Amino acid sequence: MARAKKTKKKVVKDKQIGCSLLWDGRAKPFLPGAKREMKPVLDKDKCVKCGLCYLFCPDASIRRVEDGYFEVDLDLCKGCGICNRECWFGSIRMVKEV
Amino acid sequence: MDRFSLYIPNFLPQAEYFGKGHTACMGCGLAIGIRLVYKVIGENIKKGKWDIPWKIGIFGVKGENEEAKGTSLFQIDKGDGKFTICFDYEGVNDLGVIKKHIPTLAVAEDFDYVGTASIGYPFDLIDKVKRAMESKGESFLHILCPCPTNWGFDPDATIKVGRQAVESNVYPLYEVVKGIYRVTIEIPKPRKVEEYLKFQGRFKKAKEEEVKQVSQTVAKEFQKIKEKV
Repeated sequence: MARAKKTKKKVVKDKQIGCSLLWDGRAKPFLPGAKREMKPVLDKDKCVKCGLCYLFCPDASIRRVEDGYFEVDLDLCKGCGICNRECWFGSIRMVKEV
Repeated sequence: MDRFSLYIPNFLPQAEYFGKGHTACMGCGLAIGIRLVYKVIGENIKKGKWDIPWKIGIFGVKGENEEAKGTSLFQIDKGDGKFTICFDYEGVNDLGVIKKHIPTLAVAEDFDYVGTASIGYPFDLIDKVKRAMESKGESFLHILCPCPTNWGFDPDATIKVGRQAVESNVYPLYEVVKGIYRVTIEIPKPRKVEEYLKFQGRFKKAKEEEVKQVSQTVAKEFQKIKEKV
């Protein structure tokens, strides 16, 4: 006889204060960057790896990769352009999203 | 290029306690302020020492507290006293906003530590949060968070406006430790107040006389602080 399966309780991981859940308990993933118009693109030749973009990003979408450069998480980025303006060396430019 | 490895993240706590999936507008100054504050306080959240609410409430909705209109307040119990943080996004769009000074109210009530901070100077902000947490007794911190939607400027200029406010002496950065004043960031050549006002869309209709009055009051208020040092 087929037994009724025990349903496990879903554990919510990476829950952060004041923020809505990205994946758990949703029919569709919630992505803040879905309505973005412009996206930042890094020019690695000009980058000095100072980390100003990481410091000022309001969405916490920029993180450091192992080789020292910085990467944008496009699920979280809203395309405000603060990283473009604050970069001293002009290594980030905004490109229109297709 | 490898010689210039400054690595600002090395001076910051690495963990993120705020940021994944918030629904604030793009370029939100409040989000930057909360993120930087939580980076300092955040280690203690998971230990269960303190409960940090997201938002206690926007004051002055019913006109109860007119001084704290258009701000949001956080309160933390740190054991030997309360630590209040006031994120000021200046929800009221008058020229009178610039004249009000919330930190002076806290100084009058004999707080142990009172400070002002702006997002334009993030390391100054982080230092002040640390000092407020270490102080015994009640402490208060007032943070200026520019709001692109309400103030009327481009979302990428949030930090520029936060810096402009300090550079034109509209919002001087100082701290009061047990009644002793200290200006933390001194500006040798302050900018004109007009530059700060005209950059924002909310003050476009202000007349020249009003702008002159505001710049006079700004100079007066700054001198009051300088006399107390």
